[in-house]
Amino acid sequence: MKGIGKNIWRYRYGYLFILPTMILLCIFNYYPAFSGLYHSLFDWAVGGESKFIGLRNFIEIISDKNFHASVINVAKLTIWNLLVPTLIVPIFVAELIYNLHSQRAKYIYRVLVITPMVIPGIVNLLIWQFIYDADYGLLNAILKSIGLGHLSRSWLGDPNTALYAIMAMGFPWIGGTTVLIYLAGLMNIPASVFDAALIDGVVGLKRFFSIDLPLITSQIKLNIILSLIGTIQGYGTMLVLTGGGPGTSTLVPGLYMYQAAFNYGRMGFASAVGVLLFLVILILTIINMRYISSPAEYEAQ
Amino acid sequence: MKKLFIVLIILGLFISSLNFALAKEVSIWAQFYTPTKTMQVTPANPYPHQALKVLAERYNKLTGVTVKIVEKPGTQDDRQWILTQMAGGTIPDICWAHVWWVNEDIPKGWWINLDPFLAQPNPYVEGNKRWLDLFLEGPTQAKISPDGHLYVIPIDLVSTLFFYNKDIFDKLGITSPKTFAQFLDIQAKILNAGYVPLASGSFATFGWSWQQLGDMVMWKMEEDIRKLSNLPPTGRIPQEAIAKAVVKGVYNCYDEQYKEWMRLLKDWSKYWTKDWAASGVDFSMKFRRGEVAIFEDGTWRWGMLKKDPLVKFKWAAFFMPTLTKDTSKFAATPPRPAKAIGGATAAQWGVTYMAEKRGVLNEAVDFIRYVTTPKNTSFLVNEVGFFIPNIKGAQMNPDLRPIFNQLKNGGEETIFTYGDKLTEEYGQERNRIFQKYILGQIDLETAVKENQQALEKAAKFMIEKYQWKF
Repeated sequence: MKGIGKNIWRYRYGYLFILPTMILLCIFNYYPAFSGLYHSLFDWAVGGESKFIGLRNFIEIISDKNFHASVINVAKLTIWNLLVPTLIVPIFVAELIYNLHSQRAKYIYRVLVITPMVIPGIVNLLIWQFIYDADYGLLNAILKSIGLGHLSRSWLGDPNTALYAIMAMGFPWIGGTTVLIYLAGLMNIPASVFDAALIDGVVGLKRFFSIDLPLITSQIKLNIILSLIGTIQGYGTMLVLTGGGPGTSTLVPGLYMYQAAFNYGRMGFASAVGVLLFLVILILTIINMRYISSPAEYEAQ
Repeated sequence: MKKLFIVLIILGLFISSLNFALAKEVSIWAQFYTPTKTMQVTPANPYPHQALKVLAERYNKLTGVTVKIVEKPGTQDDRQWILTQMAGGTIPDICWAHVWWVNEDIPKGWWINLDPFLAQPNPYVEGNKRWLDLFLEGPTQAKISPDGHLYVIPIDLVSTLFFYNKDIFDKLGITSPKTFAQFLDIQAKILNAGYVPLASGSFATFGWSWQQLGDMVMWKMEEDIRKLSNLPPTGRIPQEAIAKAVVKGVYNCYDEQYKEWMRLLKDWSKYWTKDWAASGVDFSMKFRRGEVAIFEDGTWRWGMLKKDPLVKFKWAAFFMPTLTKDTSKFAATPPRPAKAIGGATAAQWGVTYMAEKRGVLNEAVDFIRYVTTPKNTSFLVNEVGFFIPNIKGAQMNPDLRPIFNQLKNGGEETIFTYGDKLTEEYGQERNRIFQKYILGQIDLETAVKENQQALEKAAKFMIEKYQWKF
């Protein structure tokens, strides 16, 4: 202990510099999280009296049919988001860009991939709303023009298609940041590895599965964690486009929590939903860190 | 001379600081009536209005009290904003709020009981003995909270209508319907002609006309609910009476009247725009572009359509048609017209606990008194012409007079099925259940069972909250 104190004193200016950051972090990040954990055990309405109710909020959540529906919806969304917009499409695009011979072309494609990020998210949502419009939307118009008018429907207003319509949003699912992270991973692989592979005849798909993929495992893990957190906590799209409906067909736990907190003023109940989401994300992150690995993975130096 | 000059400066500073300390300031957030930045009409500012600002300035000249008009961040939900400002102690002294939000907040002590003030005269109206007497009885009674007090001052009235594309109606040789059977009939004709018959500004939050229809189907249940709590045959049905009716099994979703209501809605839904259940759709745009023949919306749409450059067709409006035996055996004999949705909702101003804390409670109430003279309310409410004054003797937009006759006896507070009558959570849950039923995800029996469970849960919650004993 004495040693630690001595060390702190020795580097006191360093600690002093990071102190404001730590204080702000505690106030704005850690305090709300611990407050949520604490209030999840209370019947707490903002400005009202808090009453300790033990685990009753959790019991109510677990026995609520709407919550069950929201969990199933978010599970489907998570599987889709992990497979398509996090893994398959961005890795494929990153590989295509990485394997371009022209440095200029590489640069142009990197810029093109990242450019859509400057468009505000709400604009994207409104564009998709127009595409999905039941009576005069682009998608139904295309279907009618190619003789598939019988397939046209209210994509967001039909409980059988609403969730899938939300999944399909963002087509062609090339997330700028995700692609760049994979691209950075690929560019970090030493050229000597590829030279050796070429000499041994490891090219094409074989190279992809034996060399590229194992060597970008760190990037895959990172993107999986980011995607998990984003999907499990996210609700913005549903809030704007569907309100969780029709019925509960697009309800997700994040929106369920938001409605409990801000529509019904049940902050304690909403905190309990938040705690459950935190636990799920924590468990999935531990699984991801522990079980997704490669023997060839580079350790951070 | 130099010394005298310094003394004078110090004295001046002292007097001005004293004046600053004594000058009172009242803050208000007035939702729609928050003045627009300019009076110039632009696409981003289609309905400029500054009447509240003018009234605030006149009030300042008269009393010396400054009225600060607060702007809410446009992107933030009204209820969220009120909750956070209340909790943070930064809520304005006067604040617009739906009365059912206020009801939820009463146990927290956030809103001031205005009964004692309403019992006193309004000094700005000559000869007035009791401020409350200035307001129309029906809509004002409807604002009474479950504890029997008034926490909001209802200044204007709003309701709903069916706006229709007269060009389409003329082309198809149809006229506005008087009965619900005629209404269904003309929608069938519109659909057959290749148009989308109906959209509503309230589809996503439980259609306004759905509740009017329910009220006409379940008139017998309403009579039983009123009898159970010894209520008069018309007027407001308090939340306590609703909760009591649920507990005693009088308000019961298993009842055939309730099932009939749900069946009628499902049958009617074939005429609704296909994406009626998608909450983010701007249905008004479909009507304004001439893509939808009939559009249900608030009386504010009247003023908006008049100034809308998108609207290239002739239009008119009709009130919810009356349910008759032609459509349902449960309809009353003689037929009972639909009640009006809405009421005093666009300018219902409450006084918050912060007014008391800041020591400006009397000034806050006094400013509302100043606004609620017939002359000032006419000036405020008629500037844009979307709403109707709730003050006796105030002038009204002549376009809205027919709906006024429906509203003066009370609006949605007289409809016992009104979604958020018990709790907002129940309102949303019921909407989900109805959507699932109408869209064929669940059958009628399941829908009724789920709805009954949600209704009982809401009633229990309210009984515990207000300690009602039956």
